[in-house]
Amino acid sequence: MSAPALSDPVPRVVVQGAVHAYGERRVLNGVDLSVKAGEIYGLLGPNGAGKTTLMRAIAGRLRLTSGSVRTADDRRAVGYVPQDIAVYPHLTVRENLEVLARFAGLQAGAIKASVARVMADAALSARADQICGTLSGGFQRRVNICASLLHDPAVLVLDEPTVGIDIEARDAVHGLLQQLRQRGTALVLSTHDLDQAELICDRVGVMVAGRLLVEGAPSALISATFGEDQEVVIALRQPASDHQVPALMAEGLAVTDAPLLWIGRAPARTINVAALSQSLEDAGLQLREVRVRKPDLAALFRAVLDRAGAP
Amino acid sequence: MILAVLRVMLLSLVRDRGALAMAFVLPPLIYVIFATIFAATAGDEVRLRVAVLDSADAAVTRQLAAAIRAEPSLRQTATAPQSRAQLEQMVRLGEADAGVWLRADPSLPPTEPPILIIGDAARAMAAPIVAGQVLRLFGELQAASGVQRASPLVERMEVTQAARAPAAVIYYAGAVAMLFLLFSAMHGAMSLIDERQSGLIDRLPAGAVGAGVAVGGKFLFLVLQGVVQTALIFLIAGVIWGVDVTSRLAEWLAITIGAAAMAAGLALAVAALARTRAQAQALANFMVLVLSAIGGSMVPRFLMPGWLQDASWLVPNAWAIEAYHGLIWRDAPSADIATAVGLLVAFGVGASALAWAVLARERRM
Repeated sequence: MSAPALSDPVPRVVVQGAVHAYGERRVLNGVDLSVKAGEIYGLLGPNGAGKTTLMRAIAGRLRLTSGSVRTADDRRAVGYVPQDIAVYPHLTVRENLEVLARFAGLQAGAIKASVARVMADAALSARADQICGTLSGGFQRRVNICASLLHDPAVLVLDEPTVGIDIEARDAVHGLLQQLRQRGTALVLSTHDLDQAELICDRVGVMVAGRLLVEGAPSALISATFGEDQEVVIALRQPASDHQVPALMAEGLAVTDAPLLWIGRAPARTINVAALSQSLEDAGLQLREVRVRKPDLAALFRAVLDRAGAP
Repeated sequence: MILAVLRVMLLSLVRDRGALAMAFVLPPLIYVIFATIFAATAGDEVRLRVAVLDSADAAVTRQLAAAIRAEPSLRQTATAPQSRAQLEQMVRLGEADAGVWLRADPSLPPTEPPILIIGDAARAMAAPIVAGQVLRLFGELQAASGVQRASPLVERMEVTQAARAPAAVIYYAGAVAMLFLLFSAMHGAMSLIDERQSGLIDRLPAGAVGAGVAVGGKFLFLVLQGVVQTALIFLIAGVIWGVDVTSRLAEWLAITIGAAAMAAGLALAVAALARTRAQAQALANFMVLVLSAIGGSMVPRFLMPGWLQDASWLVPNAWAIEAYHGLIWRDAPSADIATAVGLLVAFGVGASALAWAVLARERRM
C-alpha cells in the first residue's frame, strides 16, 4: 500500500451519527466517519451492510433519518459514481461527457476544456467519438467515473467502481484513482474486492448491519487483529466426512464457505507444516495443498464478520 | 432442451407481474371495454342526438314531434331550434347528429316532401338512421289515427362544409394522430425508468431541481416529437386527400401542441409512477388502448352509447379529436378551439407536475 498523501489535514467529509431507516428497518445505525483530502477510504462489508446507503448520503442523494454529513464545500463538491454504468449508451464518449457536464452545472464555456481534461486523465481521448454502448466494460467504467469528475469535485464517492471488469481494466481504474488521490481528492469507495482495497486504500472501514465495526489502515488493522499469527490454509481434494471433521478442528482449522477450504491461525513459530500434513493424512484426509501465509484483508474481513456473528 | 427453454419462459412469466398482467389480465379487461363500445355502435344502444323543428305546427306534426321526442332510441338536443337556419347550424356545429324539420302538414296535398332530415357528411350514418326512425314513427301514427300520408314523405340533405376532403379522412387524421402521439410519448418516457435504474438521474442536481430538469427536458422533447409526428400525418392527409389546415394554421398548431403536451404529460406520469419497465409497459398499453377506444380514435364518438359519449368527455383524446374535427370540418369558432387547447395543455402540465412531484419526493433532500 502506498503512503497516504495527506497534505490537507482538514477532513473533506465528516459523517456523524448517520442513521437511516426504510420504515421500521434501519440500514444505517449510527455511523461516524471522516475522510481527508488525498485519502482513499474503502468501505467494506457484506451485501446489505448499508454501504450504498451511506455513500448516497455522503453524495447528497439521500436524506438521513438522523445524523449529519458535512462535505468540504457545497454539494457540488461531491462527485458520485453509481455502481451501474450511468451514461447514455447511444451517445459517444464526448457527447455523454458534454451532456453530463451540463448536468453537473458547468457553464457552456467551461465544458469543452473540462471534457478534454477528464478524457486525457482517463486515457479516453482516442475513444472520444465511439458510441458508449459499443465500448468494452472497462472503458465504460472509465467513462462512468469521468462523468463524475467533470466539475472537479473535492470528494469522489464510488460504488463498486471495478465490478465486472478484467484485471487490466481494473488496473487502469486504479491508476485513475491514484491520480485523483495525488491531486488531493478525497475518495470514498465501496468494494467486495478485498485485494483491491488492500492495494489502494489508505484506510478501510468494515460495515456490518449498518454499523462501522472496525476502521483504520489495512496493515495496522491486520497487525492489531492477528499480531504475529500466520494463516494456515488447507485445500482438500474431497470434502471432509463427519468423522474427519474433528481432526481438522483439533488443529484449529475452520471450514470456509468453500467446503474444500479450511483455514486456521497460529503463531508462526508454532506452525509445523510437515507434522500438520501427516496428522491430517493419518485421519484419512486427502490434501491438495497446505499453505502458510500472512493474514490479509480478507482474513481480517472474515474475522470481523465472525466476531459480529454475521452469516 | 426445448422443454427446458419452455420452463424458463414459463417461470419468467409467472415471476413477472407486469408480463402476467399483459398476458392474462389486460386482454379480458380490454375485451370487455371494446365489446361494450363496439357492440353498442352496431346495436340498439346508439342514441343519436336529434334537433326537431316543427314549422308546420299542424296536429299531425305536433303528434309526430312528440313521438320523436319520446322515442327512446333518440336523444333531444338541449336547445330547441327556432328556425331552419338554426337547425342547420346545430347540425353543422355537431350539437345535433341530425336535424328533423317538419316543414309541412303531411296530410295536405304534397308540393314537396313535408319532412326534411338534415345530416352532416361527417356523421354519414346518422341521417339515414333518423330518417328510418321518423318513417317508422309516422307509420305507427298513421295506423293509430288514419292520417293520410304524403308521398314522398321524407327528403334528406347535408349541411355544406367548406372542406374538400372526405369527412372520414379528416376525422381519422386527428384520431390516428392521437393514437400514435400516446404510443410514441409512452415509448419515449420509458427512458425515465431506465435512467432511474442505472443511476443516470443521480447525476442531476439532487431534489426538486434535478427532478424538474429531468421531467422538463423530456416533456419538451416529447412535445416537439409529437408536433412533428402529427404534422407528418396532416401533411400526408393534405397531399393525398386535400385536407387543408393552412387557413387556420395557428389554431391547428395550438391544438397539436396541446395534444402533444397532454400525451407527454400522461406518459411521464406513467413512467414516474411505475417502479419497473414491465409495470410501465403494461400500464401504458392499457391506457393507450382504453383512452383511444373511449376517446374516439377507433370509432367516432357519435356512434357510441349516450352514456359513453358523455363519459368520453372525461378523456383528453376526445378533446383533441373533436378540436381537430371542429377546426377542419365544421369551421368551429376560435373560442371552442381555445377551450380544447386550454384543457389539453392544463392536463399535460398537470400530469407532468405529478411526474415531477413523484420524482422529487423520491430524490428529496
